[in-house]
Amino acid sequence: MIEISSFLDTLSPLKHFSQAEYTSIWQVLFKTILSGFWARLIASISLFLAFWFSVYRKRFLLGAVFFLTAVTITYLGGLLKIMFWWGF
Amino acid sequence: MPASGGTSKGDVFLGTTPYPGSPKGLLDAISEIQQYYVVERSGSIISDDFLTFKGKLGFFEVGFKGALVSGFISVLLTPFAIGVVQKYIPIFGSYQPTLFDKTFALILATSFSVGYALFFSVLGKYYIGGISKTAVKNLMGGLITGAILKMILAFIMFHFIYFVVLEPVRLAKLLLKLRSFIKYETLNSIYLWLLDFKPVFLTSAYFIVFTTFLLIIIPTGSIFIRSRKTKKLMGKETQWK
Repeated sequence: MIEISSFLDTLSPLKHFSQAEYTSIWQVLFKTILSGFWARLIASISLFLAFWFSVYRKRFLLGAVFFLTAVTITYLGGLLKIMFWWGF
Repeated sequence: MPASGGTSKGDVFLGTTPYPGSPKGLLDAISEIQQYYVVERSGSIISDDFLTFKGKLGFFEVGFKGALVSGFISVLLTPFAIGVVQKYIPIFGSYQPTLFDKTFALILATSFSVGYALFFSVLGKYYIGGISKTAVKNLMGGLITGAILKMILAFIMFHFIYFVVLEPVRLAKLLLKLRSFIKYETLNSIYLWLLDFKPVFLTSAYFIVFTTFLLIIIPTGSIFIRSRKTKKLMGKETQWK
């Protein structure tokens, strides 16, 4: 039980970063790839690749991965904004 | 069979042979239809009974399940897409969506259904002989039935959310149960936001009707057009012979 507890402690990001540092990591992520030009570009390319792999190349797993990437990049930025700026 | 478990001349094997027309998934179904097409195009005649009731049901089942799965993704993403267009939900971290953002949100919501429909479109090429046609018809029958069932369920669910779940008094009671976890001001802003947001569910219900129409019309139209092309090509090949 002690090992499991210490293992779970290791998993906690607050064991490795301060809360301010951890928040700033997500904020940097938001500013760089989850909003603005880069988010639009990555999401568009992901959606195109999802179609390319699943419909044209018949590789469904890759298609599903790119589709999930497109959905995540499209909406995760908004979710982070709600979490960090509205103070839930 | 010898007791040693080996084989000898004259042994009878009661193994499981691949059952004609019992595809496990969409790729299996299309592969089987391709095989029927190759045989029928070479001029061989396959008996109508080759595709048994179980076989027909197998093709139907694959189409039905596919339509439900693709529909589930669309149903999940549609309120988000409509919410983006009506500026209730942020996209790419912004509450001020550009024309590109709105279009992208709508494409994302419909993409799974459209992709699935495009995948079915290849079947048109194989819609020629008796067995190929029966297999394609059953696959399409399953797709159309699944798509319509999904549409009806989604339509009812979105209306249920609008009229029952998000009814102001009921919603207030539901949110007040979270009072011990979330502060009152936050609950109040969630309540007001949900009341503003709830018409999105009605729009979503009708948008799902539209995407279902796409899911049915794209493969049906494509099968019709491509099968005519294949028939023309086969007619020319006969002339050349």
